[in-house]
Amino acid sequence: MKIRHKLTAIIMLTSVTALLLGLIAFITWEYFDLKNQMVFNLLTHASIVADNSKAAVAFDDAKGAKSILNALHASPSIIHAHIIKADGNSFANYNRDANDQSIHILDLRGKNYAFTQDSLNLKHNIVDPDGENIGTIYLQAELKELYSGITRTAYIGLVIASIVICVTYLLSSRLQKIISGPILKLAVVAKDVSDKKDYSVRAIKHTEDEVGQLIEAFNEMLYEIQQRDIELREINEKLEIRVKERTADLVVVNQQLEELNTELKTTISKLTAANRDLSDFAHVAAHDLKAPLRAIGSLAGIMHEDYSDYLDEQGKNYLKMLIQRTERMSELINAILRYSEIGRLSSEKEVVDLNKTIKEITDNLAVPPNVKITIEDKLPTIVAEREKITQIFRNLIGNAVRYMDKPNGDIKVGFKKSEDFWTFYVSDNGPGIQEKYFDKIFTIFQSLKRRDELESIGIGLSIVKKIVELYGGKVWVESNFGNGSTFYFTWPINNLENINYEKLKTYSVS
Amino acid sequence: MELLQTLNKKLYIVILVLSLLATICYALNEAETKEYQLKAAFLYNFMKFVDWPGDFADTNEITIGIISKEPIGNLCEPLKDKKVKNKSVKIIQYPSFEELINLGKQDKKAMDEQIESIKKCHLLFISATETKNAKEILDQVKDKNILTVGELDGFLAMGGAINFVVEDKKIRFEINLEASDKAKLKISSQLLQLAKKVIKAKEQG
Repeated sequence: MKIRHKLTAIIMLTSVTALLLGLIAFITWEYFDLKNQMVFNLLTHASIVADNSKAAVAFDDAKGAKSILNALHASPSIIHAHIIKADGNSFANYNRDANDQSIHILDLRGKNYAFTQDSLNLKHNIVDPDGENIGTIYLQAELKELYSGITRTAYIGLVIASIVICVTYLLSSRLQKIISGPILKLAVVAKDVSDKKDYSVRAIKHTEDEVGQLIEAFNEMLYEIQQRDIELREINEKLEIRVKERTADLVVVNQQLEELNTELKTTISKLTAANRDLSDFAHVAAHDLKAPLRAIGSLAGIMHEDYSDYLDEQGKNYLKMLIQRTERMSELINAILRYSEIGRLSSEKEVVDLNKTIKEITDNLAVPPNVKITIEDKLPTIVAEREKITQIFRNLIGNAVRYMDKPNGDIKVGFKKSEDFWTFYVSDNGPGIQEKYFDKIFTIFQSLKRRDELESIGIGLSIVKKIVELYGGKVWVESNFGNGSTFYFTWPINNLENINYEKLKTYSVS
Repeated sequence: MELLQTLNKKLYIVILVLSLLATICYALNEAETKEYQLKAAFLYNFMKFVDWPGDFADTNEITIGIISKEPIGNLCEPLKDKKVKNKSVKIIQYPSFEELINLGKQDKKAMDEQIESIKKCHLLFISATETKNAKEILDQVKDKNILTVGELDGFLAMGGAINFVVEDKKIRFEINLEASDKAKLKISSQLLQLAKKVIKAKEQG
């Protein structure tokens, strides 16, 4: 709905409502006024007739009374009149219709007058000159006149109202332009601005009222927007230039990065290849060295058994040492083979209950009676290559047992759970490790004990490190030198969740 | 025996006739009673529709004089203890004019007293028994403010103000305005409307 239609509608609605209310009020007032007038008129009639008929009533002259009542013909609205004497007897009777001789007893319910559906009934006392009540006159007048009067008033009112409404419409449709005109012009300007994004146009102010203020404010706003627009455009232009510059820079950097990446990839593949070559070489070399070494060992053994009589003590000692060194070398070669095999051979992953694993390990290790191995918390069941996780725990617990130097050895196995990995630990109250060796101990063939003291080839921890890192975990040690050390390693959790449940069941059974 | 029977028969007839007469008398009497009750009501209302001049307003009583051979109880009874125009009604029963004359022959003073008393009445009812002397009575009270009411033929012609007549067995009345004017009485126009006949006053001057 357009604003000018709204304005016209509002004016029309208001004036029509006011008019109708006024009309209703007027008609209502008129209705009650007419009623009052009617009562007054009828009362006048009644009092005149009562006065005229008092002698007739006093002298019991029904004929005279009847002729007085007949004078009521002059008032056509009176349809019935009736005189009752003080003793209650009907005395004289009048009907507008001369043929009708019936007597109507009018019930006023104790009042002096009463309105019924279509008539006004009224009574008036007849008093003689002494003021004595000698009878009552009842009059009945029809309400036709009242209704026709009201109808006439209503018609006239409606006609006037219609004319007023027409005039109001003509006036309001002219006058609404005073308000809607400037607003419409403003709307046109606003639409222009929003369509063409042209903030240079201005609305013209005609009046000093609120609409004028609105136009002023609108123009100010346009000015402001215009300024902002200019600023924004400048900033935008600057920004675009900077973006272009930065983009160019980035392209260069990207190219460099890509080059670097390619280089890196090449390097990685070269390194991987080199690593594999090295590993292969170590494996092959160790493998190939095994046979001649075994031959040397065998020969030395034969020599020691069959030719010891030909050798002096010195010779016998040298031969013994030769055999020992050969055995040592064989162990080293086996260790190299084991180390290099990690990652080359992979078995299928399965569900492993670590509590069982630890029990098996401790059963197989010859644990001295003075050493106690405890599982701190019930360990979880994980998914892993059984051999590898078993090896990690075997090496760590084995080290702890082997290096135990206290009369009451205490070895604890436990874990902590993080969001996506387990952290397992094996702690002991053994000799401990100096901090400077924390990294060294994980390097292959590095044992902190002298060869002669303990039979150690220093490969256990390096194997642990290799397995853990193969699974994407970390391994480290914390130690208080002299009071024991704790080895930690992490193991990813999500493996279990990727396992098919059916498969898991069969694993559990097996 | 026969004589006795004849006597008996005669006695029967006599008794029959007597009872018949009694019935007629009673009926007549009854009619008369009703007539006078009505007339009493008329008199009562006449007083209401007629205005007396002069110092009438200051008096406490309104006096009705009745002249008749026999006292008319039925006329007096209904009017006793009534009030008209806020005055109590006083009824004086006078003897017939004939008796009054006779009285005058013996005691002139007593007769004059009676006549003076009559002249002080406000309303004077002259009964049908006074038909012969009505003219004389009216002459006596002429020029007094007395409403004269009669019930005899020619009463108005004799100078009476209101006369009862019977028409279709109903009691009505006639008015002589000339007489009432002379007595300086004002008769309500409504009363005139009800009158069977009104003798208008002669145009004066």
